[in-house]
Amino acid sequence: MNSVPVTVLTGYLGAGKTTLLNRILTEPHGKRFAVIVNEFGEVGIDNDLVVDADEEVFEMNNGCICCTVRGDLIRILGGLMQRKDRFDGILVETTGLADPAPVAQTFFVDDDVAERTHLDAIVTVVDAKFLEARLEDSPEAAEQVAFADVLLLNKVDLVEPVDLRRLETRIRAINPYARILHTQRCDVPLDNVLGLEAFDLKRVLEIEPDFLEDHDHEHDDAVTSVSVTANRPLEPERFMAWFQRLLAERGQDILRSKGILDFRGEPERFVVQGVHMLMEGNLMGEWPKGEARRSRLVFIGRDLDEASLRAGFADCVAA
Amino acid sequence: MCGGVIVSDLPPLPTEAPLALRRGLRFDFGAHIVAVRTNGDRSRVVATLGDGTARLWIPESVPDPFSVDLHAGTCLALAPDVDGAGFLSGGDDGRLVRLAPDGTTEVLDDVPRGWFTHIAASPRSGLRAAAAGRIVRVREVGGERLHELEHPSSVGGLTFDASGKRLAVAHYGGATLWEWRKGRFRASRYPWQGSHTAITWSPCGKYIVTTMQENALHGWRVRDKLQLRMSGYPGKIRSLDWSAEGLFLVTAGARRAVVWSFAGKDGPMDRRPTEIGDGDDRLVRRVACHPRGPWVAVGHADGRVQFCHLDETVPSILAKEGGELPITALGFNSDGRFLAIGDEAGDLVWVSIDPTLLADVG
Repeated sequence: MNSVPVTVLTGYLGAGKTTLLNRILTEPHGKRFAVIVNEFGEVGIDNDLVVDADEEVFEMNNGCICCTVRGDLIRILGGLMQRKDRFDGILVETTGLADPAPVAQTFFVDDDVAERTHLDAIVTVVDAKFLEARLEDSPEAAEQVAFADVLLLNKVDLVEPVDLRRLETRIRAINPYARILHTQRCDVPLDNVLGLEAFDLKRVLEIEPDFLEDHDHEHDDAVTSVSVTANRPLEPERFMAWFQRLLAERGQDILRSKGILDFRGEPERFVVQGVHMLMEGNLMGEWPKGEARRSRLVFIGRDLDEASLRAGFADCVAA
Repeated sequence: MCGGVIVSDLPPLPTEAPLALRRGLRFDFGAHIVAVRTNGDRSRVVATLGDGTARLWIPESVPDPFSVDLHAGTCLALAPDVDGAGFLSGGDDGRLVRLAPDGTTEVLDDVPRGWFTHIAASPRSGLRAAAAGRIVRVREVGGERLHELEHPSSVGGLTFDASGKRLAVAHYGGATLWEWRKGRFRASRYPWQGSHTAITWSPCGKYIVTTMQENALHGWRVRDKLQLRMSGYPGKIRSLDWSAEGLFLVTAGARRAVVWSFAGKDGPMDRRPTEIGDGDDRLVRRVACHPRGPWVAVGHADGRVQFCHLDETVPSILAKEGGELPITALGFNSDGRFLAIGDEAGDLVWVSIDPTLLADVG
């Protein structure tokens, strides 16, 4: 059976999440969505199904891995997947103060959810005028930026170009690989937010190398990114041991990780991605002809110890 | 000791044993088969589906199922009703519906925008319980009064004990045991960290066991809340059932069906489970114990169903070939002469079980 894509919409209260949701539901695209919302508000279109969620965040303890999942989402997705009338997609709206991690982790952890649905992308809507203030006063705002695959910088008409550039630099320092879209009233072609397959390992290959270079940090946000590279092959066992131990020990603070790796003796590229302590990795085809075999790994997280990450990664380089 | 006698003196089966199962009849019900149950008086079998309908039939060799509309979206929960004749069905339209043996329906409860995810009913006490979100709504048959039992999270499962006066409810952080006395419910908590997604009473009434999000079982001895940890599963435990004599808890969630013995005073404490059936890499999704003999129907993720003896040395019988969609529902009729096998696509296979297989069971 086909796996149904699930798009997660996050964003602070008033940023424009509901506007985006209503646009997705009302534009003529011939698709049918199930929408999982937290408060039954202004959404609800005849053709689509609206389901109330309770945003129940459950802790799980699987051996050495602790993580949180959305218990209500497991139940709701299970019910939706039983239905005869299947959906082209499912939208999950989270509350303004929600940490996106439990939603993302649910797709890694639950067998039924993983079998029948997949996380398409995390779409974060931010208010261009108020984002900087939110980044100062609420940790959730930075987490939502950090988790974004696509970031809608909304209400750009309300800020000056110079402020917009500063804001974008600051967003980049937190999240170097999110696609940033400038919008007014969330006015964006829907294929820029739906059907992205951003959690497919293949998409990790599209990380643009220049995003991985260092950025000048004007602000010391608690959530930042660190990217590490190596031009010589890595020792696979050493890397996996280091990476797994790193996620086990520091996974609370590492929000997301993505990497393309050159393993010694391996003709194919090894691709990894992680959400907190959960990770997946696989061989994803040979290195393109003419492209240098260069390992690159990016971490987005809270209070990252850049020196120690660099040293740990450097130790994995084959002698 | 969990009472009862182990029936294990059946003659060993021939290995070409598919002979012991008559050819199954296949029906295409057209939507995900959510559950299959027999009513208490054994006169009807019902399958509820992902399109909100049910199929109802009389358990006989060549049944003639007919369709009944129950819910607007999908059926979610199914249980035999207190009178032994009808069924209770819960759906994602917020309705609790009674289905009578003649196919007529009656809406018993309606919670707008709610989902009735779990139902239990006890013929002994006449109580009907249905969970929507964190609330379990309980009514006595003939009684108007609604008891609303609230839990710390959405309910993962609920079940009455044999007396029908103790209702066990699974939720995040453990289980709650509600005791019905003098027209009201009193709660005792059985805490254990984590999300509990289903619950069962041992037939002797001494233990409650939950399945957990962590691919493990957790149990408590009811009397003293002694904890039982039953872990090591590679996958999600989607199904569990008690053997006919009530001594063994059989579960899905591994390559073969897992059997925990509850014989003895401490249940499965410090004992390893046995595994039955022939495994490959497709995990067991559903199990159903034969209501009379020491047999278990074991349904896999690839649609394969085996008929396995509780004694792991007895060869298993293939009841249905694999290579298809996951098994989502399994159920014997009450006298164990028929087995219903349902899958994700809505195929239902109705298997007659050769009486010689059960000759010594009575």
